[in-house]
Amino acid sequence: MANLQISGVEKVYPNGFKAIHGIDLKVEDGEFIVLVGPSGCGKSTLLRMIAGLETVTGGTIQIGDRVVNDLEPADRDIAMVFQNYALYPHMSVYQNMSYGLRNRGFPKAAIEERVQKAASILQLDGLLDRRPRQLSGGQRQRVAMGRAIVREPAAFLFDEPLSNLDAKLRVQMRVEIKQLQRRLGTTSVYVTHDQIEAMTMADRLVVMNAGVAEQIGTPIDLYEKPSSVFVGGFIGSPAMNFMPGQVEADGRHLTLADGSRLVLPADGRTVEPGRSVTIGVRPEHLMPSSDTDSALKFEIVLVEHLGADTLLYGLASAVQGAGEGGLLTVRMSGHHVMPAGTVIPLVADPSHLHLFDVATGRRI
Amino acid sequence: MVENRPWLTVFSHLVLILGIGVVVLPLWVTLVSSTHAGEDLLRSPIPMWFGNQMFENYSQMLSSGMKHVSGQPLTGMMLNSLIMALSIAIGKIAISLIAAFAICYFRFPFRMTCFWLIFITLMLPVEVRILPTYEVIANVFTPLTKLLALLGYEGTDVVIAGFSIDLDVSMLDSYAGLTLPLIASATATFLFRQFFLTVPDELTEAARIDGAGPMKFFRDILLPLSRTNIAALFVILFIFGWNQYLWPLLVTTDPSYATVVMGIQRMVNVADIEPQWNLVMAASMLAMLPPVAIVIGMQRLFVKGLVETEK
Repeated sequence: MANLQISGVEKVYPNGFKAIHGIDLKVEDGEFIVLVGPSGCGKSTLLRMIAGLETVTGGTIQIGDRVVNDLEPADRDIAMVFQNYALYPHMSVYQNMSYGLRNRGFPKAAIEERVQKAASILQLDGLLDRRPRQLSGGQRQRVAMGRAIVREPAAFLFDEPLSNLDAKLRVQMRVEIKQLQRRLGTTSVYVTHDQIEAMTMADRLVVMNAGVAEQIGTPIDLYEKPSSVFVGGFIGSPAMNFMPGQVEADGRHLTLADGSRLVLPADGRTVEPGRSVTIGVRPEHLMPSSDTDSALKFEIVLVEHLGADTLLYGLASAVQGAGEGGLLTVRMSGHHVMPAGTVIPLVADPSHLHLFDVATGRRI
Repeated sequence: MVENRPWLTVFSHLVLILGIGVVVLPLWVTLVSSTHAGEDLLRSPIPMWFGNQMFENYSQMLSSGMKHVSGQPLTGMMLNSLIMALSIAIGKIAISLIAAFAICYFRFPFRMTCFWLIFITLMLPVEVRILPTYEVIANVFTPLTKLLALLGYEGTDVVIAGFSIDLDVSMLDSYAGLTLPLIASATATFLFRQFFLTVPDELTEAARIDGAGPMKFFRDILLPLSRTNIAALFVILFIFGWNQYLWPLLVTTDPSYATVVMGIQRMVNVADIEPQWNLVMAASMLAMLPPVAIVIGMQRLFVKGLVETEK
């Protein structure tokens, strides 16, 4: 058990490509941190640097009170779970799980005890003599977890461990991993590109974009107060709607591109009148309105019935000023039957409007 | 592809039967001839069914050999062939495995140069470089003395600190001379390299995290994974080694180092008298046995090694 501290870590590849631009992160003991971002954002690179599989070209990584920058992966007291499990195909489940302990010269009895304990936690008791190829995807995943558990490391590192599983199993394993981590209380860093996985598992999330940590915070923090257009668009499904707007002279309303108006939140934030902003509003915070004058016009193109919710996809000239207008998503709870082509007026919940700077994309 | 045309089935079977006939007929003639007395084979037509001299022919070849051709029993030659074939197969596999491991898993200066140097030797089989190779085997220090001659130093001994070192070590008429030049192999190195490249990187990384150093990784993970490849290669290389003809003929003059393939050639090339075909055929059958045994014994692994893609 230990905390993990990453200070100003950078990664520059020999060809000059800079994958990580100085990341600072402090992971508390027992915390579950999820690194999330689109592919190529550097999240896996950062994890592999913590594991010691990639060299660190700047900054320090500290596990417990040791700086581990120059330590071999085996000496860092970490365990890693790989995307394709990386089980040794010619070894039995027992041998797979005990290999790391045997290499460290553990006595036979201690190995036996740890493996049996891990196997019973993971419900692998009857499978210890099997080869990996005789196991199902979920079982292989559990063996990979078991290999990590028996080491009793200071930190678990997960590299997209669920992306090879089918949707149902993924949800199940998600819960299992989270429960297991709670039970063991081991500091964990988990990489995924799936924002639902990220939201459901994380104690804290790190949203990464192009080698930079865009925002670090709890899932709800990130959902309610995204620090940038990128985070707003990445977290939440369906994604946040964005449209250009301008603050009116009274400082309490916004004018959209099609002339409709939105009320600014009355939470004391002041935005200078006349400033152009990017407005972000989540699909569930848009609702039909009876006030047809100032509301924004929304022409339904497609309706998706999810059971509990209804998703409306439509065009609004407020989104992209010219011509047809851009796509806007609205989420309404319950059933709503609306034919395509219907035009409805929409208003946004003022307390859930997000304003971003047009140039930098940062939250105002 | 499934086709349902009767005449096509008949035709394809005819082709197959013809093909089997072409392969089997010479073997059949050899087997049958080895069971007759010598004079039976000189009459026409040659017999197509077994004679009654089988035991005599085989026991003569195994115990005393052919009297007017060195008079050596076949057992010694078979043993020589076995030593040569096994040394070549095992030596090639061992060296190639290590070379491929170095090239795939270590980053050292001129790594790719090394690989291409090895690869280029594919273009230089023994038959092409036979004269220089012979010269080196005749005196292992030939390259050194040539180099010294270039630098203006003549002679074959070097005096260092009062000691005279004779730069003349010959490997002619030795097992080392028979096998060493055939062991260096680009093909096997290349095959293992290709196989190692298909081993997922995650496996290497998992082993690193599990605390396995390079040699431990090689022994615990890479070797067991290459098992079927090694078996397939062993079968091919054993037969390659067993069938060597030109090279043993060149480097051995001492009959005690003769291999069985050379021996058969000498039995046929006799002066002044008719070759004793019955004995030659018996020798051929005996010479065929070890490769056949290896193929049959390792058939399952061999086929697996050639076709297996799943790791």
